[in-house]
Order: sequence, then C-alpha cells, then structure tokens
Amino acid sequence: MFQLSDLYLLAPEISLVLLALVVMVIDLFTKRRIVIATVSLVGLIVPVGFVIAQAVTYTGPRTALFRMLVVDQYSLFFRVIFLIIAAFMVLASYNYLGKYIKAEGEFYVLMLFSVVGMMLMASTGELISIYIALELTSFPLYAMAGLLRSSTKSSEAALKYVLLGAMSSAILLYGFALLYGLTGTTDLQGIAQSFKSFGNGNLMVIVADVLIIAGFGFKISAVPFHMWAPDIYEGAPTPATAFFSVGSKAAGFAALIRILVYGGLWQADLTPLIVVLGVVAVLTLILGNFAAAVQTNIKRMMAYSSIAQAGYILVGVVATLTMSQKNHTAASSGIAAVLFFILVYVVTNLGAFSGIIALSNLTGGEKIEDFRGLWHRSPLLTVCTSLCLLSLAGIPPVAGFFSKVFIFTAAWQLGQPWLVIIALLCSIVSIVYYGRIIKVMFFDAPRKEERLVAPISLSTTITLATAALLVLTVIVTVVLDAANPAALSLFASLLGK
Amino acid sequence: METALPVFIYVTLAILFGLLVMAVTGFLGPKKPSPEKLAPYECGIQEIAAPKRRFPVKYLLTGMLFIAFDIEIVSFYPLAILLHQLKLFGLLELLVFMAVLMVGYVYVWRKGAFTWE
Repeated sequence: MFQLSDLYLLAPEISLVLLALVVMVIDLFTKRRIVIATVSLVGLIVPVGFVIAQAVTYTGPRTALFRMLVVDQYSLFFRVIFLIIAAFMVLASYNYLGKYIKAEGEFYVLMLFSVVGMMLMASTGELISIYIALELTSFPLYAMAGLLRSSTKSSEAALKYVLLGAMSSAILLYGFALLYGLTGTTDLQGIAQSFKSFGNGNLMVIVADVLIIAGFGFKISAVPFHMWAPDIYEGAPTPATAFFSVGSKAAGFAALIRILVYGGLWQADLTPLIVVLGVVAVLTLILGNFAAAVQTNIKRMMAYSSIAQAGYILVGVVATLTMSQKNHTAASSGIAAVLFFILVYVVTNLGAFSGIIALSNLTGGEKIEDFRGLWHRSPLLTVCTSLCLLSLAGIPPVAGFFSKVFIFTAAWQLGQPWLVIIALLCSIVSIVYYGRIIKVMFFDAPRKEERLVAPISLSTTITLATAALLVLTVIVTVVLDAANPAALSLFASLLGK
Repeated sequence: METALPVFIYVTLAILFGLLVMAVTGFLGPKKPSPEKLAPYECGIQEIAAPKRRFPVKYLLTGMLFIAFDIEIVSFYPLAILLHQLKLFGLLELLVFMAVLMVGYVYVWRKGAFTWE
C-alpha cells in the first residue's frame, strides 16, 4: 500500500518536477535569462540533496508505489549522472540561448522535465512506468530539437525526431506487450520470476527481446537504428544536441539494462539474445567509427562518435549477458564497467560539446576547418576541448582510457574476445578523427590573429567538465566502488529469492 | 503454437480471398475510363467548390491545446470510478494532478495562446 516513505523515495523526481514548474512560472513574469538560469541551477540542489541523503542512508534496495519505483544502487548511480547532466546543461546553454533562441525559459523547463523522465527510466521496475518515463524523456527532446524557429534544418530535425521516436516507441510497446503476454505481469521482478521456468527455444521470448532491443536501439542510436542521429544532431541547437547525445543515450541504456538484467530476460534463451546484441554492437562500432572519420561538420562527427561510443557500451552489456547464467558476481563486472563508461562518457561529451559550442560561437562556423589554429587564439578552450576529445578516443592520461580498459577487460574475461578485438581496432580508427581536430586546432595556421574570449559561463562549464574528467581519472577506484554494488544490485533481487 | 494454427489459416484464407476478388473484378469488369471517373473521390457530380480551403493557424494552436487538456481530463474518469476505494489518497492525487495542470493552463494563458486576435 501507499506509505509516506514512498514519497521520500520519489523525492528527487518530485522536487525536480516542482523546480521545473517554478522555472516555468518565473519565465512568465521575467524576461531576464540570468534569473531563470540561476533558479534552475540553485534549485537543482534540492534533488541532489535528496539523492545524496538516500545514498548515505542506503540500507538495501527498496520499492515504492506498488513496486513501480525501485530505489537501488543502480538507480541512485544513474540519478546522480542525470543530475550532473542537468547542472552542466544549465551552464553550457546559457550563452547560446541568449544568442540564438528566443525562448530561453522553455529550454530550461523542457530540459528539466526531460531529466525527470530520465531519472524515472533508471528507477522504475515496471514496464508501463518505463514506457511513460521514456515518453516524458522524449517529448521535451522533440521540442528542444525544433527550438531554432527560423532554421529549417532545426524544424526538420524536430519532425524527424518525432516520427522516429513514435515509431521506436511503437516497436518497444510491441515488445512489452509480448513480455506481458508471456508472463502475465508488467512488474519486472514478476517477469524475472516467471522467466525462471522458461526453457530454451521459445520463439516469443526471442521476438520480444528483438523488439525491445530495436525500440531502445533508436534511443541509444545503435546501428541499424542510428540513421536519425546525424541529421538531428546537426539540425538541433547545439546545447540540445549535447543533451541528446548524453541524456537520451544514458537513459536508454539505463532502461535497457534494467529490463535485460533486472527483468531476468537472461534466464530464458540467452544465445539468440547475445547474438543479436553482439551483431548490433559490432555494426555500431564499425559504422560509427568509420563514418565519423570522413565527416567535415563537427556536429555530424560528434553524432557518429556518439554512435561509436554506444558500441563500446553494448560490448559491455553483451559481455555481462554472456556470463549472467553462470556467475552473477563476475557478470556484474561488465555492467560496472558500463556504468563507469557512461559516467565518463557523459562528463567528457558534455565537456567536448561545450568546447564546440564555445568555439563555433566564436568562430561562427561548424566545419572542422573553422577550428584552425585556435590554440593561438583561445588556449584554455583549446586545451580543455582537446583533453575531452583525447578522453573520448581513449588516450592514456585521461579517464576515457580507464573506461575503455574496464569495458575491454570485462568483456575479455567474460568470454567475448572477438568483440574486444573488433572494439580495439575500431578505437584505433577513432584516434584518427579525434586526433584530426586536435591537430587542426594546434598545428594549422589560424585564419585570423585576434584573440577569442569565451563568455564566462561557457568557459566555466568546459573548465568544470575538464576538471571533473581529471578528478575522475584520479578517483577511478572510488567510482568503481560505487559502480560495482550498483551493477550487482540488478542481480540482487533475483538472488534474494 | 497449435492453438494459433486456425488463426493463421483464417488470415491466409482471408488474404487469398481478397486477392482473388480483386483479380476477378479487374479481369471481368468493363473499363471505360474518363477524366472525371479517374479523379480522386469521384462521385459522378462535378465539384462545386475547391475542397482545399485555408484555415487560420491560430485554430491549430487552440486545437492542440484542446487535445492536451481533453486527454488530461479523461484521466479523471478512472479516478472518479475508484474514488470510493481510494478515499483521501485519491482525492489528494487528484488535487496534485490538477495543480500541475493548472500551472500549464496559466502558462499557456499568460503566453497568449488563448487570445484570438
């Protein structure tokens, strides 16, 4: 039954909804961007506080609201990630909004509502709630893609996003419907229980798996469901693009892993599931990396780069599924690597995108050649952006190196050596295109000599992101200490019974 | 699987029958086409006004807002049916829902979405 403590468990989301409503009302009465941005940023303290309080007083997984809400270490980990995204987004978008978009309040409100949806996607243990959370995440994103009202590319991006989003939701719902038909419940724990008795060779299970993977494939932009990503990333306002590339993707993975692992789908007929996901992972890696290498527009390049990054994450997911029937503790190391990877990816990509926002704002172009010789014109921005790109490429000193190493070692140990080899080869390709931007920025002759001064909010964002990246590099073990139990908590509900 | 077999047979037969009817009419029916007959939505009478008529975009906005609020109001019905069982909890839930709705209402109002001119 409903208890007041349920409200406490839902408090981060509730307070975030309230914050979004407050920002919405403030937007009605003042036109001053600084007020709206400050309220959004300061208001984030409340949900962050609730998440921290829940994490500190954590005693074990709890469910609330008729088992729709699951608060375990996994959901807490993702809630932290999404709140980090929200805070970075407020800062990173501040100047861009003033320059290009008339509706500043709307951007923040939509972004906050979307973050609520993302947090719920990571912390619901029930199919219908997952679907509603998914839509709550997606609808604001569609509107955000079209916020550049005078740009036809932006409208096109929004329309494409809506249509593809609707289609992927339909596919996903088919999968959910089949799961419900097979097990008679929408509760993931109930599904996990009833899958215990399923034997191999049940065609419907495979069909349901494939439909669910296809549905989430759109959200995480995995090949062959990636076609929307480059167009939408290019057309949407750049801060919105940054938000899609980290938020939508992290939330998609959060829900996908929740269903696959916590929902116990690995108990029935695992081989086809692994084959399907493995093929998707390989295709994603190859296409993402090779297509990124030939782009000239930096936003399109980042779109393909984020497709490639989804490939690495999928490798970790496949690895976990490979071992999940034999050894839960070992298998969870794959998910732990994935969680670490997602955290690092979020910080890095936000940093790289704020660098791109700043540099393309200042130079007025989004082509890679527009970035020539920026080292001489804006050293701080260039160094920070380069560090983020190096981390995306997985070059040793930065955290991106560790996140790739964890994914690869986990996948190797869990018995997917071929995936690791392919991923390694692909990440060599990735050095080429990340390195090309760095080379252009440092060694090519600048177009003009005059110094570029980035607005304070953007330079703060990128410095913060780079600092966070360096801190993550130092405290790798601390993060892993949080990620390991978070990954294990997905299996815990099944082992406990 | 066995229980689904009659359904598959039924669907296959239905599709085949549909194809058969189309093939037979195409084969046997007389064809004397004229431009009027080939026009879409032809009914034999010449049209008296162009069906494409312009309507103001403002109407579209009102229509969209109507759908949003309409669907939200529909969610009151299941609550109304269960209100006796849900008691105070249900009522509070309704009020919270209304409050969120009201913020949206005030928002579109203040933004001028309801002014026609």
